[in-house]
Amino acid sequence: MLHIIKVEGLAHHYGRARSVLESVTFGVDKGEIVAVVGRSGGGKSTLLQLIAGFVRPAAGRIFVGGKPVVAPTRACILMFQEPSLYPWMNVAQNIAIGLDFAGLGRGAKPRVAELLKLVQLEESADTNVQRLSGGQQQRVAFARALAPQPEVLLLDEPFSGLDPLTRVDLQREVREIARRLGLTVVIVSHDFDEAVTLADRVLVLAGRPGRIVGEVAVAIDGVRNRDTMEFRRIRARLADLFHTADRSLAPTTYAAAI
Amino acid sequence: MTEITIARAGSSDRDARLPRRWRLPVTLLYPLIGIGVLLGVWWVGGAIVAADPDTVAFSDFAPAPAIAALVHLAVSGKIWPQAFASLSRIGQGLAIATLIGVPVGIAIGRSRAFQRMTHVPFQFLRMISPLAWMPIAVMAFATWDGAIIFLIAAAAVWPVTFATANGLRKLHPNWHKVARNLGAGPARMLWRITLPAVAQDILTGVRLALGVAWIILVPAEYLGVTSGLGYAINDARDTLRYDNLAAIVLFIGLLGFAMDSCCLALIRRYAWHPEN
Repeated sequence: MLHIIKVEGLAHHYGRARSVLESVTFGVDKGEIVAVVGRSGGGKSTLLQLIAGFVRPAAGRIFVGGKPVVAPTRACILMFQEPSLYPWMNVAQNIAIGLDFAGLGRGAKPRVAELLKLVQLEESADTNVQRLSGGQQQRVAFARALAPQPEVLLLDEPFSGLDPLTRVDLQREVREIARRLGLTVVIVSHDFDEAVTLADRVLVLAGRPGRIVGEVAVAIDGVRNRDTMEFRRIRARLADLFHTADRSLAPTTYAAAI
Repeated sequence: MTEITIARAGSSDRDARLPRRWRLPVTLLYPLIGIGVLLGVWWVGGAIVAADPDTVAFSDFAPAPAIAALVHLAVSGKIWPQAFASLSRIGQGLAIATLIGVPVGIAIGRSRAFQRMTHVPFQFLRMISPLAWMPIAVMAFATWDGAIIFLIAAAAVWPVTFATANGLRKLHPNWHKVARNLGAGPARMLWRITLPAVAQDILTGVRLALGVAWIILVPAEYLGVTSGLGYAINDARDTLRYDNLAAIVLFIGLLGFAMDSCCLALIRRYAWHPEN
């Protein structure tokens, strides 16, 4: 099967002193939800910024939809850890902004209404986004990301600032919506539970600089309950993979002195 | 940068807890006390001046003759052409300051290199009193009006520039990234993201600039022009009409207050910061 995202031999560093990613290679199929788990500061966010085209890699190649990534595009939308909504706009205006940028401002109303329904915020269309809860704000950010109908959605720990109950609800909703829309999703997280709840496949990023040290398929049908044996088994397998690799991978490219 | 409060005068959480019928009187009470104290000081000053034989010639500066003169100037229509001339100069000076200050402020806020390059020259120029440019302005411009507008713009450009730059620095770094990802070109990025994001800061700069422009206006209109409130003050002094002089000073204060209130209303309209 052709990968919609293809990452080949990716390496990146900030300045000459800090190498964050090395020899990262993987592919993501169309409609697949892939999670990348790793520790904070391990290069996960950098990986998404590289795939989205915000940062040019020091080495390696990235393809999205068969085309090399050179700059951010509407085909591949990155959703940040913080909702990053525009506080001078209401919910509907925030969702419509991408359509306006695409020159579809006049025909945006039906699409915005559809997205408001999808994220269950029909009643809040005219509400200023600053009046919403954290979970509602992330729903708006999700709808805004979906508005231009991207092929790929990149999620940079978007639920980490939410309370546990809202987080689990949103994780399930995002998975369900992505499934329904046939969307390809890459989510990075330091939370193994989140990865198993959302993903079809989990890649483990470990070491400094970070590299992919293994992957685990998540073959759980239906609603993913954290108390089931299968869920726990996969989570334990991920933790084992990560910790074993992280211990064995010694830093290789740190500068000798700063 | 000088902080300007945009809190509603006299309103507070404590006021909000008052019964509805008391809120308006309480809201008006404090400003009325302030105005009363000011009038009292003016009246006492006038009485002292009138009581002294050496200064009795200046007794028309007192509130009663000044307010009577103001009413006469307003009703006879004599003050309006002067006010229009001054407002036109202020408007043109502020417009030029805004047209220069906003793009330069955006450039400073967006580009670290531009900020570093301009820091020393701008701080140097900012510290020169706009009135120090007066002789140069008179030589450089063909008309007196041109010189006055230049002086106002030279004074007003700095608050607008630095307020805009300061607003840009406070922006969430992801806002431009999100817009870029959603396909915003440079023009849409400017109109839909950057300008609305810093509108409140720009207007705060314009409000500060307005205060500076009023300060510059009166001495600038002492230059060769034959219209404007500064000219009218000079004329009243030369003709020893101290009641008119005090009336025009009062009028300048009232006009400035009205314009500041308009700025404040615009700032409130475009304010989105959570603290507001």
